[in-house]
Amino acid sequence: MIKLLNAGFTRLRKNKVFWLLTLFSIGLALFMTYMGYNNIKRYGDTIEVEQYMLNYSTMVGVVIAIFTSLFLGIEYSDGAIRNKISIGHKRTNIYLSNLIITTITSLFSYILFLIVIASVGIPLFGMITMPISKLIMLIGCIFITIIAYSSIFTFLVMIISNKTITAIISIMLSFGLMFAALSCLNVLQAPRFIESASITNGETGDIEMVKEPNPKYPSETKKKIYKTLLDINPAGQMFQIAGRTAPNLKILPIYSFGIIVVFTGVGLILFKKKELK
Amino acid sequence: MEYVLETNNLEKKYKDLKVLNHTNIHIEAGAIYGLIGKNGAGKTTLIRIICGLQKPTNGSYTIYGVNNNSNITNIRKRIGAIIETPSIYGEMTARDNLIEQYQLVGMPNFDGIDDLLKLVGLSNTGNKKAKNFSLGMKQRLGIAIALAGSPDFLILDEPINGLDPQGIIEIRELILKLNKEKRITILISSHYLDELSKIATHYGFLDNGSIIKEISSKELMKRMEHKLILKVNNPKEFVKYFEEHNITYEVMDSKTINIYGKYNLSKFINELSKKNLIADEIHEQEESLENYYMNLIGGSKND
Repeated sequence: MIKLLNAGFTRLRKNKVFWLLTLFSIGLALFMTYMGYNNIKRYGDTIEVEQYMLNYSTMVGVVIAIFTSLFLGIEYSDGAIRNKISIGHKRTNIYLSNLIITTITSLFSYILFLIVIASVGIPLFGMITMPISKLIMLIGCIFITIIAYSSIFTFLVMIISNKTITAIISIMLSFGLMFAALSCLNVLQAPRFIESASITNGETGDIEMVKEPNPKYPSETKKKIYKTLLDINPAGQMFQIAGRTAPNLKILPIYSFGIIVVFTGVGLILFKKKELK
Repeated sequence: MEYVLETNNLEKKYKDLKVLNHTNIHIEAGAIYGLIGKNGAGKTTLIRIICGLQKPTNGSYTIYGVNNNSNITNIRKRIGAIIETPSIYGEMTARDNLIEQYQLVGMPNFDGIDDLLKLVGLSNTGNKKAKNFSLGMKQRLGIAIALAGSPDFLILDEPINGLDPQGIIEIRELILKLNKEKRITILISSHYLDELSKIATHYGFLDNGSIIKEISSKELMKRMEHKLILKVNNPKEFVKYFEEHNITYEVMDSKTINIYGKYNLSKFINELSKKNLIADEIHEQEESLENYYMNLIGGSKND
């Protein structure tokens, strides 16, 4: 396993996708702080630096999907997995070492973003206003969800074995998870009543606002289902963490842990049985 | 005798398609074993199984005496392999690819990399990325990568496919050098028979997933010196005569028998006629590996 990790990190250092990811994290952090600073100057906005720290989490799934499918996809297209097996590495170790490398890289990308935001954002926008313990908890949840994302996309790469197909499916899935999360949020945030205007006097044109029950307001059962789906979905978790709207934050890492165990477990079983060409 | 590689009735099925059918091969230490078969004969499937990429449906194999049902993963550390295409990271240089491989096999330092690059003739590639190498250079880098762990057994699947004549010569010389100087046992699969005949010390002929003949190059050379092809109506009588007179023969089909060795044709016919053995036709032929192979697969089909 150590040999596989050594070789993997050596390749990472020479890999273009990794350096693009690093530049993207730094560039995005700088861009966000620049835009925030502009807003302060133009409109006198008040900006909480911690909000910027959390915002990247909503799109990190797409970034992990792109990085994992391109970095690990090469393992199949360039014959590296064949090579690793034929020189006596166990399939379990190959799978886990790839998962560890993509997870550490994804976490590194987020940490780098946080460092840039903190070192540029705090001098510009002021200190963090949220209690530090709360911020650490939120960022901790983000890290666990990043591991869950890595386990999903590593699973796809190791099972599909075609770099192009994996990249397409991974990116589509990352967007799909985001849209699914937004749909769930849409349902859950539907108001119980909606107001409609009706004209009470045609001659005078008097208008009366009438409160009516919203037909799209979900039932309690439907709410529970949508809430659970939102909590399980890594993109849903990220939206809740970034929006600080998770009523029960502690449940989210449990769902993430479940995703990690299920995807890695099933991935290992399938990869061990996989007939390689 | 303990073989470097031995397969016992190896079978591989994909649904109803049998790709390997009771395949038995035996590779001695120090041999250059040429695995010959047309496209689709099962060469690559056999190599994939040996290298652990696929599992056999039935049967077993041993590498250095270790059975595939026991701790075979560890023994694979003694193997270097190129399966179909070399395992190369195109975005890296030749040196970086070797550094990567050295780490994978757990070499304590990178001291041997310069020697390996020199051995395969890639010392002067500098910062050129492997994706910009010619096919021959990629193939040689693939061999260098396969050699990184100082293997005792090298498996090369179609290593000269697509190479130009110069590339073929370079690979051939490299294989001979590795076998002679480093005493590496080599399994090389190919359908370039002429090329294989220049390096192989042993041959295994694979057809429809079965090894139909294993033969050493010495024995093959003897057979290839000369051959008489007899068309007969009563092969049993002929076979009896050949057995009695220690004549090397092979029954190719119900009416054809091949006799190997150099004979005076008129004297031979005369001897046969004394025993009332009259052949309908007799042809004299100088055999090539290609002829031998074609007759062999033709013969096996008519058995």
